Amino acid sequence: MRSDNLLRRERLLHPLTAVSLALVILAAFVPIFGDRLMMNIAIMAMIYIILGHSWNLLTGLAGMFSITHALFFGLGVYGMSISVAKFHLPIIAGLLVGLLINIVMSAIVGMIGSKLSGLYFVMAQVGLSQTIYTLSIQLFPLTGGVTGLSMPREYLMDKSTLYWIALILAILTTLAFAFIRKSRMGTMFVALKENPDLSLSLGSNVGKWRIMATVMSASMASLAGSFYALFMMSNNPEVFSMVISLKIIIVVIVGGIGSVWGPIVGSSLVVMDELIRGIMPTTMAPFSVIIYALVLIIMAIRHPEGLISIGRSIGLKLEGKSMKKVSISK
Amino acid sequence: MGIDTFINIILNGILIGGVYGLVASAFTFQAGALQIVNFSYGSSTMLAMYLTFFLIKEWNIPIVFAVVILFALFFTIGWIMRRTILNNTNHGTQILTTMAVELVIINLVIIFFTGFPRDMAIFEKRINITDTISVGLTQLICFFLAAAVLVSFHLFLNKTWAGMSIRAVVQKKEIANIMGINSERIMDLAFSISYLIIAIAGIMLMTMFQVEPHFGNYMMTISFLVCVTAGIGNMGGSFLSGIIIGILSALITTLLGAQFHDPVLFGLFVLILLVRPNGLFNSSKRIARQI
Amino acid sequence: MIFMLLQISSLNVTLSGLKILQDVSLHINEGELVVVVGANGAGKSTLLRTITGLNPAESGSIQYMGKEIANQSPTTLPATGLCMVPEGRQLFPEMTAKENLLIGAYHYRKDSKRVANNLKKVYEMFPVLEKNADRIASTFSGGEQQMISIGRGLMSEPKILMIDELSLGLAPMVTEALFKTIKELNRSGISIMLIEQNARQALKIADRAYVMESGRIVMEGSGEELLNDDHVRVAYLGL
Ligand SMILES: Nc1ncnc2c1ncn2[C@@H]1O[C@H](COP(=O)(O)OP(=O)(O)OP(=O)(O)O)[C@@H](O)[C@H]1O
Ligand SMILES: [Mg+2]
Repeated sequence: MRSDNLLRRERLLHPLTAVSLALVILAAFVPIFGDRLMMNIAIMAMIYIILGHSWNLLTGLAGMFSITHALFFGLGVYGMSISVAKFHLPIIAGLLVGLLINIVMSAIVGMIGSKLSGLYFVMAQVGLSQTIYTLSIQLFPLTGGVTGLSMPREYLMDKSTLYWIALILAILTTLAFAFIRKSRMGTMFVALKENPDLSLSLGSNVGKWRIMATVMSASMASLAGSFYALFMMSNNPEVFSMVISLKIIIVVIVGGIGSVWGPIVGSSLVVMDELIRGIMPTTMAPFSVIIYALVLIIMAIRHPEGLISIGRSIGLKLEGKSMKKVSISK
Repeated sequence: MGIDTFINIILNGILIGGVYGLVASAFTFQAGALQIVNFSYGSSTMLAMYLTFFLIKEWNIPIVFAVVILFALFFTIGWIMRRTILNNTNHGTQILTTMAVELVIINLVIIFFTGFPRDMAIFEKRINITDTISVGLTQLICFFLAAAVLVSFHLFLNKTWAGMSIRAVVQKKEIANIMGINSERIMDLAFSISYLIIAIAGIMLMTMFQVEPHFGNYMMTISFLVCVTAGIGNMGGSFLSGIIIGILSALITTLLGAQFHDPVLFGLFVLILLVRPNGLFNSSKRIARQI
Repeated sequence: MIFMLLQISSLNVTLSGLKILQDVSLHINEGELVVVVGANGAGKSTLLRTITGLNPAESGSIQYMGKEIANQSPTTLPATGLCMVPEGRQLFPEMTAKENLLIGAYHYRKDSKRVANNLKKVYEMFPVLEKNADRIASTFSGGEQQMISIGRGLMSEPKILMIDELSLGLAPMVTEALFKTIKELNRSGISIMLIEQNARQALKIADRAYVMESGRIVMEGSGEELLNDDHVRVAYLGL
């Protein structure tokens, strides 16, 4: 039954895989023939590849269900834009500020993740992410509020430079993910995901590994965010939004969770989305989000096992660490 | 700040808190009792608010009909959601798909109703308790209505065959089956009924708040806060902790300023989760006893 | 003429790739008290779960009153008079004793007179339940919980009551009383299929009995025959 589902899943993905690989290969040649629009699309795809690896590391490998991954991405964006636009620091400093904020935040998330599990961890993430989101709006003098900050023109880079940076970052994170997956650390992540009690017998500390996974994942997302700030030349609170978090998740799930190629294959969805949005008027933007959402819903309806196996490997149960089963009664 | 102002703030917090409690109770019922985690919860509430506004204010449908339409619609939405995407027991899948549903709802609202904030602009009649202390009439009505809904729901669960079979299915599905209860149908029914509560909560919220498409995120986090304070699955407790959160929220706004309201409240939520995930007033043993 | 109420022939059950029941055949006549004994893991519970439709039957037939019921949805059974008292009581833990009993009457819930009538009968049989009707089920003692579980089964007006491990974890005194109750129920006309670890007592009250080993029926006979059988004496009576 399991293998049957796996087969079905592969058959579904097959044409998609072909199309997506073609798109990715095309993307690599964009600067040669592409116009600005094409290059923008390719850059967006690269950003989602980086974010995909980042999520894949935390959820696919380490088994911590990151539901508000845009939090790390957004902090990267704000780290860069605030440093540069408010304090006129060099780009590298902006990058480091983003990383630093993210390390602090991910340590917190990792700590929560090693203490809480299941629904409680997810709810805590939503709470944290909402807190940061509202702060990004409220701390107007620092963040520029709802409209955000715009960065000085001297930081503007030309499109093909940005493209090459994105490509290099995407390749580097792909390699990093592949390396981590094969390394002792990666093996440890997977082992702990599959069997959290294992750590006790191995005498190692689950919390430590979980925090480590979160910090590494957040650092990747931070890179993507800082780069995105330079790409957009501004920030706004929407970088923390659920839409981005869900897009990241869909990109990986469509491509294959836990695999190195997953985010790369899945990023084709971003390419298609950007292509379609390029054609449609901006007022149609809500439709694009709906399409993403429908992709996920249809996948869930047609392949519950597919999504379920994710949930299973995440070990997502309502019964949290210290939670007894709750039932209704008098 | 005078003592009267203070009392006014507290009263106001209590009344709004009662409605928070109602909003949260449906989530706590879904997640705690039915074991269905619904992250489109906030946006469903938001949708109910928008529909209330449009049915009554824009399309001028008499209130009674508007409520009936809303109920029928939300019961159906609940039914369809349970039959299509929530007929699994995997919380991971449930969270992901309902988040997707949330995005669909938010964006459909933007498409059909635009992102423009809406407000019932009810002229608030105030009831004076003393010269300086007063409460809003709509708020007062909503508070008691919320309590009444929760009490009725409690009675429904405990005094009717349908309610009893819901509890039976939740507690021991297989045994309920061999006693002749079709557990799938019962779960559909229970989930649809929780959507009725969401519809009612939406109507009440619409009389107090201005709604915009992302209002659901706010309501969801408030619901989380309320649920976690009471312990997930504890419906009676969620009404009480709703009131506590209502008071707290009113105090934060007046003492610290509105801009700190959300961050402080949400930060508090994360803190409570870390310190007492089973609720502030609960041992994990007791919680299973309550509804 | 003897009327065969339940007839199982060549039943095979496979769960997660493991053959749990092999070629099981047995029957229950109307009014009989049939006992099935067997060691832990022999497949007794699986047999009952398969009859009620909680486990799928792989092959073979389960005929109840002349109708094939193998792989039927469990929800259809109580209305036909087939009811199981599951292993380990399996009460609805957070419901009151009374509510637990009422759930047994679910299939005729619209007929409130009938419900009240049956409830009264169960209360007469187990007065302790009437006194504590509004107590939460999980707070009752093991014996009392077994009474609730049997009562819940009786509420469904069974023709056959299939009881899994009546005496599991109960004190000898309590066990004895329950056995007596079962015998009385049987006399009142309810056919009974009783699964027991406590072979000696069970065989004493049995009309007929089966011995189950590793998923197969290895012996069949009257209660007395089996009580005197050498193999049974060694394996199940500890003699
Ligand atoms: N769902 C299942 N999947 C795989 N094996 C199962 C399943 N259910 C039961 N079994 C196995 O089937 C065998 C028979 O189990 P069953 O519960 O029917 O035994 P039993 O005779 O009732 O034992 P006991 O006296 O301990 O209650 C056991 O070895 C058990 O492990
Ligand atoms: Mg057994």
